[in-house]
Amino acid sequence: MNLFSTSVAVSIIILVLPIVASFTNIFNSPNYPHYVKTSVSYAFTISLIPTLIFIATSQEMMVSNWHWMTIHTLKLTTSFKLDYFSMLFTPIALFVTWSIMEFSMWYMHSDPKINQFFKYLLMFLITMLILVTANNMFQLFIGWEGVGIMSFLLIGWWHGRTDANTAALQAILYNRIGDIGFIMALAWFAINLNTWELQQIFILDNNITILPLMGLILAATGKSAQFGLHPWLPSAMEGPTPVSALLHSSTMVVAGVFLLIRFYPLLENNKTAQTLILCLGAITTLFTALCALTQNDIKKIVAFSTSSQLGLMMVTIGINQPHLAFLHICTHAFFKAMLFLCSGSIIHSLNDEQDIRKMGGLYKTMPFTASALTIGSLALTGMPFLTGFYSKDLIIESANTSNTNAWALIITLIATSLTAVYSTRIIFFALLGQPRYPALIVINENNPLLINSIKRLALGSIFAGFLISNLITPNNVPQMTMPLYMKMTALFVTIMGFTIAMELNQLSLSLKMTTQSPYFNFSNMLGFFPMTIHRILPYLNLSASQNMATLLLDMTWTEKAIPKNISDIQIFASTSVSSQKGLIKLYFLSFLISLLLVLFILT
Amino acid sequence: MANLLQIMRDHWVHILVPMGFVFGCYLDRKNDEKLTAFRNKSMLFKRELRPNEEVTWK
Amino acid sequence: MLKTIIPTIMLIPTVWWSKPHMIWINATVYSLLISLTTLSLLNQPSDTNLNFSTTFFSDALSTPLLMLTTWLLPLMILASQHHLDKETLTRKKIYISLLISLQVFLVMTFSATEFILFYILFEATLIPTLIIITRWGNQTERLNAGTYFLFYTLMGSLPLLVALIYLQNSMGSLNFLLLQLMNKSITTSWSNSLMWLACMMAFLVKMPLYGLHLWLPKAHVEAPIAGSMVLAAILLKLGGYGMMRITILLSPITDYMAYPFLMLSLWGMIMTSSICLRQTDLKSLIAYSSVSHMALVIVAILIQTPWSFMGATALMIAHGLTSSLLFCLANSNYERIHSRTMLLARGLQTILPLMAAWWLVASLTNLALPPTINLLGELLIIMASFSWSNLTIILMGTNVLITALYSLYMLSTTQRGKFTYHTNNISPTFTRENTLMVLHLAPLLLLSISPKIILGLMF
Repeated sequence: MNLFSTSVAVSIIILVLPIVASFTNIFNSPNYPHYVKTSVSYAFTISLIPTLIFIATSQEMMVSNWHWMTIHTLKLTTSFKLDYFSMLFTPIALFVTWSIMEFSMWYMHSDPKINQFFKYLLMFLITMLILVTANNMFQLFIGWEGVGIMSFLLIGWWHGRTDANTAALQAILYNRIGDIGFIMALAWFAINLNTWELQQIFILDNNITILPLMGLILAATGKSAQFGLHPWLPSAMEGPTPVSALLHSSTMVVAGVFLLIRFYPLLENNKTAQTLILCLGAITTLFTALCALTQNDIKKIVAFSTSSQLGLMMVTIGINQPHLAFLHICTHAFFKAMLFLCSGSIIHSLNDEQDIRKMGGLYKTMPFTASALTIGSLALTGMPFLTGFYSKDLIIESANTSNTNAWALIITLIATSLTAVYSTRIIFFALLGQPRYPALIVINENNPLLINSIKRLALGSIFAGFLISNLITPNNVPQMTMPLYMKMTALFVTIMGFTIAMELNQLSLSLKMTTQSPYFNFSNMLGFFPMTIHRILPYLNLSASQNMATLLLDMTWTEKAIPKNISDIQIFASTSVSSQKGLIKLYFLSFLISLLLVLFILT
Repeated sequence: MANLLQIMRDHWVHILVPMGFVFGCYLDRKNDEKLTAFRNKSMLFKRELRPNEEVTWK
Repeated sequence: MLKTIIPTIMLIPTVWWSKPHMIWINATVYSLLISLTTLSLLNQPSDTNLNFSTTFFSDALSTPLLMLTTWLLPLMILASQHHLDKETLTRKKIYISLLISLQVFLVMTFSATEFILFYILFEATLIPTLIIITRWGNQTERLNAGTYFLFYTLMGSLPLLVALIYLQNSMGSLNFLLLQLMNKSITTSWSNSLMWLACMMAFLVKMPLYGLHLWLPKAHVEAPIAGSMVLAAILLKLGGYGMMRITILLSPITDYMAYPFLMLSLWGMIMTSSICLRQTDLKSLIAYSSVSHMALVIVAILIQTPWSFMGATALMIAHGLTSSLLFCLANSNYERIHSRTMLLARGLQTILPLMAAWWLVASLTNLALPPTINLLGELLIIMASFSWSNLTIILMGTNVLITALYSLYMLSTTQRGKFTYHTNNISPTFTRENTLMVLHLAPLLLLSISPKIILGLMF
């Protein structure tokens, strides 16, 4: 009996305390953000204890707590699965959240509702932790919907702005389509395997039909913005930058991939599901990388980059390497959050300018942010021995040496080189060259909150990959030998991407584009996907509901069918049968006179 | 005492609903007795002892 | 049961003889105390039910509905305080007495042992509701609404009377408790199919089923707030309760007679949700949302599995509280701008933040967020219909999607966005309104801790 479960419980209690305290007086004081930030940092420190215990002794634990109810033979309790995935993810999520909260203390400083902002961020974090530690699918669903709703509230933070409200609703729409798949999986598991607990699912039958797996894949597509359900992720950039950093880069969007990773014993045995995931991930990563090439908003480029990396994680699951995908989730959190924080720092310093065509020369004026941005981009592209290298390179190596779909593999490689291209684009336009912003802006990045948060994440971006991959025990035999050209593939395409992008940027910096190129249009308009789907489908849906459901069926036919029919028949029947003309006085008089006559005659 | 009279004259309506509840409880209990009258079957089949008769099971 | 019914009847003279400034307080406080008396019904002996007399009983199905009914009366009285402000004293007292008499009839309906008594009280609940809608509604359409309401329900329930009399003759007794034990299956003949139709039509119209639902938007929209609350929360559930009771008698015929109504409900669920997306009238949106949720309940009851019955009961209770809460919120809007159009009062989160919080929670429960009982009911029903036929998941999934969309559309239109230029007299939220919302939300959220109470007969 050691402190494993106790420290997990303590760290969760520390996180819940500020939410409870929001009903007391501290919520109105200006110290609340600082209180929340220190709570998260304490929770991070304490959550390191179970992680270190796990790393040292491989101890996993499943805690089954409070018995909610037993419906016939289905027992529902609150059960927590503290295993490899949740124990590694929790400290990383807490660390990233700590840095983001410290950053938000600077970024959202002038917001009158900053306390509520911090409360929402904390509620999001708690629901995310519920999601990753869930042992049964109902609890996972609680966390799943919880992060969706917190995303709605946080994307629509500036709720007076129409675009923010639209983006929030769009996020809910796409997530709900995924939820349909999740509910189908829930129903299938309850009916066929009589349980929602992961242990029982994996023991009973590992060779199941594809139907629940399709449900889980649909859920992951919705939550992790895979191709087909992806437009909500770039639109979600309407929210404040800390929200983008926390939700839409490190934590919420990986929930879909996390779900598939949790179910890896089922996916191992189903080749069709794996191929589906592989192709879906490959299409996503290439498509979103293409879209990122011509975007001009720095946050949108990083959002598409996130989407592309999510596709890469799906590819990893598709080649049956769930642990590598999980490793990529962990390392990706560090540098992606840092990229968002750097963009936030740039945006705020340039007086809310988000267009990279209006930035430039920031390596002189904002050296710290510039170096952090460069470190983050290099980690993202997989520069050897930075964080991203340990996960990304391993993924490309495994993909190269495994027996998979060659087309998926090739487009993944192309997407990897495009990663380098758009990272170069950001660095080139934002950091290098001469300034293109108005000269009267005072640029000051000298705030300890900003510096400390980015510094921590930068240290994580450099060392975390090394630390994590040296500390965990491998779960399957890694591919040790491969030809030199295969081993150098990732590095080669990345360097090629860098050099080509740099050359093209230098060449075309002062050129103007006079004729429209169809490839540029395809990329800039995001593959025409939002343009067509967001117009056609809502139009069809709303016009069908207006014309068919409301006007035609409800107001016309159902009205005609019963009420109008009955009233018309009655009126017709009564007017055609009766021959009365309504001479009430005559009828009453005749009745009275005949009655009186009878009375007189009879008496 | 005059105060109590004043209170009763002003707020006598407040007694109506509690009286209704008490009356309802009483009627419910009487009904319970009617429903459970036959739980004790030997009471059902008992008859009054005539004078000068002893119980037969002695 | 008399300990609930007689105090409620005594509440009417209490209201009539109270001092003018005390009628609202007396009515609210005493009805809250009466709702405490129904709590003792939760102590059910296992496997059987709680018999009070030969006329009243309560079992695991009627207990949650009874508790909801008695809980709703103080809420209705709280909600009606503002719009009856300008009326004369006598009219206020008549209104409250109508609400109380409706409550008496409803309590007796849910606890009736015998079917004919249930039928008589089922019809009796129509009268106070009709008076409330047609006398105190706000627009001219209220007369049309009252007519639709009355005649749709009567048209459905008169065949039920004939069927009940026939069943009494053939079975000897229509006592619920005896019927559960007499369980004989009836032969599948044409006349028995007609009898099935006669029995079920009343409840299907009340629920309402999709093709027969026209009375509901009219009645809900034109009724004053207390009328809307009681209609949405309780009167619709009378249909569900009746269907669950009468399906005992109709055993093998339901297997094939239920198909057309199942199809109608599954399709109607999506149709009415789609209508909600295009509504401009706030109360009409909530009314159509009620039809959509009740279609789920109809599907559950017609499938007739233990899980679906549990889901139906849970969803009835959850939907009662949620729908009533949404109507109260819509009424708080109406009292400020005197129009039901959604667009006229938008961006309210900027000036009424606490009310926006209640709107948010109400919309979240409407779209069935875990772990509330709304989700539990919907999930159980979706699982039961998935096992009945795998294809229904497509329709149910589409319904879940559109429900989320219109709930959040309603939230975004009324609360978010820029505040309007033309409204300049939005008064701050009264404590009474906040209390009303909390009294709706507290049971709803607390029940998610222990949903065993509302899972009904099959738990």
